Amino acid sequence: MAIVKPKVDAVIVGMGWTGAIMAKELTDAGLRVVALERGPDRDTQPDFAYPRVVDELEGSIHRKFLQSLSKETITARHTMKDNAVPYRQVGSFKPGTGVGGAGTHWSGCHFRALREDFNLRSNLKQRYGAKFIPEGMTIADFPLSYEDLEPHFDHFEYVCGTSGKAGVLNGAKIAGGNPFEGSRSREFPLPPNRNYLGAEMFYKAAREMGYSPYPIPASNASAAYVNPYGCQMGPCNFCGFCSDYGCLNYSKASPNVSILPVLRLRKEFELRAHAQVLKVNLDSARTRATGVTYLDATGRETEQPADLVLLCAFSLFNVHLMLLSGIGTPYDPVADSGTVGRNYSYQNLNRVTLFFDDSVQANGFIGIGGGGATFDDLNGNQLDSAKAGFVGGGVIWARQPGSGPIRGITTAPGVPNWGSAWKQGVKDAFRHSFYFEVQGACMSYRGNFLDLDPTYRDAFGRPLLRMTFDWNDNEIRASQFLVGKALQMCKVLNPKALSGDAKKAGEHYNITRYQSTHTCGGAIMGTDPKTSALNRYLQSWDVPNVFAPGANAFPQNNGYNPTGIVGALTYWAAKAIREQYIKSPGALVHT
Amino acid sequence: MKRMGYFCDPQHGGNKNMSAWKMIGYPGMRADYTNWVEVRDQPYPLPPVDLAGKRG
Repeated sequence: MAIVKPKVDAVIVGMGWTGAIMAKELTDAGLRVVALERGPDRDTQPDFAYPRVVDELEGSIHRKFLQSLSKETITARHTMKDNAVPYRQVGSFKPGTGVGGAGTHWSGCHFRALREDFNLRSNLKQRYGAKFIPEGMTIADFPLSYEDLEPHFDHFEYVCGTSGKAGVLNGAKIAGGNPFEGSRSREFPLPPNRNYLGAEMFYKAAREMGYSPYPIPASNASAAYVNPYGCQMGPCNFCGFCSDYGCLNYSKASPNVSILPVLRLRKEFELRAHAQVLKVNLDSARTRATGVTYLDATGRETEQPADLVLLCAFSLFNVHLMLLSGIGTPYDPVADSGTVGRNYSYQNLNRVTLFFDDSVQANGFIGIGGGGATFDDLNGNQLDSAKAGFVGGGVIWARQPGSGPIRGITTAPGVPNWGSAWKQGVKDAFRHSFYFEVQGACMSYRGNFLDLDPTYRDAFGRPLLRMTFDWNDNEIRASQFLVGKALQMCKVLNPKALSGDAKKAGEHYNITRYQSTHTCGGAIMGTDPKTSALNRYLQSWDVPNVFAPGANAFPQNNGYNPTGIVGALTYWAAKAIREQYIKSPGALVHT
Repeated sequence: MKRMGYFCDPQHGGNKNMSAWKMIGYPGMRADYTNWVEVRDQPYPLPPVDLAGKRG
């Protein structure tokens, strides 16, 4: 017999960025909120304290701060014809766990989407005709505009102390920022961070090629800062332990640093760590959630009744919970029906490395997660898709989150993998090389989707989430085009050697190699309940007292990192809950 | 290819006397480069420090 807890107004599943934002906004509105987090409670002290946190073997190899895949994971395959097998070691993407979630170990790149990213499908149709979009490519417009989200992009940047430079301010272009961005209502809360050598060289090469480089918006504070909630940040000290680690210095924005100090003091808010949610409970008609069932820290099955259920887990696990709980109809790629699992997409990441002689002090061990430089001349409307031969652009950037030697030292082409020549090769490369990356968009397709695995189960007896994903020709062509442009740009800098990893024709997705944690889609937002799981307020079409904020809502992924967009969407959904849903619970959009 | 024992902090049993770090010029667990981000004309000057606070 399960333990039954007293009913609350809202239960939140997962305490990362989306959970923390929802908890803040809903307790502001006077709701009693319980948050259930599967992992441990974590905070800067003691979990991310120096020197313990900067152990590279524990952080980047043993993955101390990431989700353990021993209890819950996914299975993966390339096509519907293949058997999926479990993802047992962290490779391609890194889901977080614990309080703060992936928001503790992210790097800090904090972009807004471009205006045209929101109406991708209709924009392409208008520019190139309907036939230009390949058969089977299921890209869709977001059911809202840049202007709808602008106040929320702005607020989230101020919560995060984002450091950057506006390129378009109240409609006027200003020098130093991104000239192609949507208009901002205010300048960034903090100025850009200082440049390490690789970023400085990026500006030089990009300008010489005629591009318009600008500082990557980084939620790594360039100066001391107090956010609108009164939470404090200190200036980033370029420690080099950013991606994979919680910040030792209160410099990288995270739920723990930027929101939880306020939440933890609130009587209306209760956080239960080590609380593994198993499913959302629905009424017999499957149109109303009654709460969730979870295992508490001692493994006891516990029921938490609630009027409102907010799925704030990592994008993949939001989809998993919806499928396990029977919220909405599972996607069937053969019949092209159903919604949950549809439009899974990813990110098209590629790298080029530049090697110099020992007079060039690149010092890759100096690191800042989000800091660096990029440009949008090959992204959004700047890309001529007809000429380039693919849909969805991307950005090229200089980034340097900090490279310790165990994470791997890329050596120049021709260096062997052993012996004294290898030693000489890593010695030559370690302080005297840097890299640029291409981060391309990833379109959605009928054949790339999520569902429940028929064979493998997790430690709690539930079917694992199954990912069916492979690269399509469009993304391979994008990789080759963008890496080609990046290599061209590198030549301006006269490196001693150069290596690049554009995808080859016919290349398959390799889940064992780290690429990007930007897993998107699966429970997407849209205007049609037949092709989307969520409406424009991230509310389930089928069970209106369930909301599922996260990158799961993206109909496809653009060339940017998702966190800025995810945060803005969550504030947008929270506003709708506060101003509309609480007064009149029920569907916020009628079709 | 990763070389965990060779490059890890000495507390894990490898990288004796931080010799692998010294070979490549890695400052180890200093984790503060505030004053060195914009220096271009000279190599980073300090030897490594490990988690136990020993200097290499």
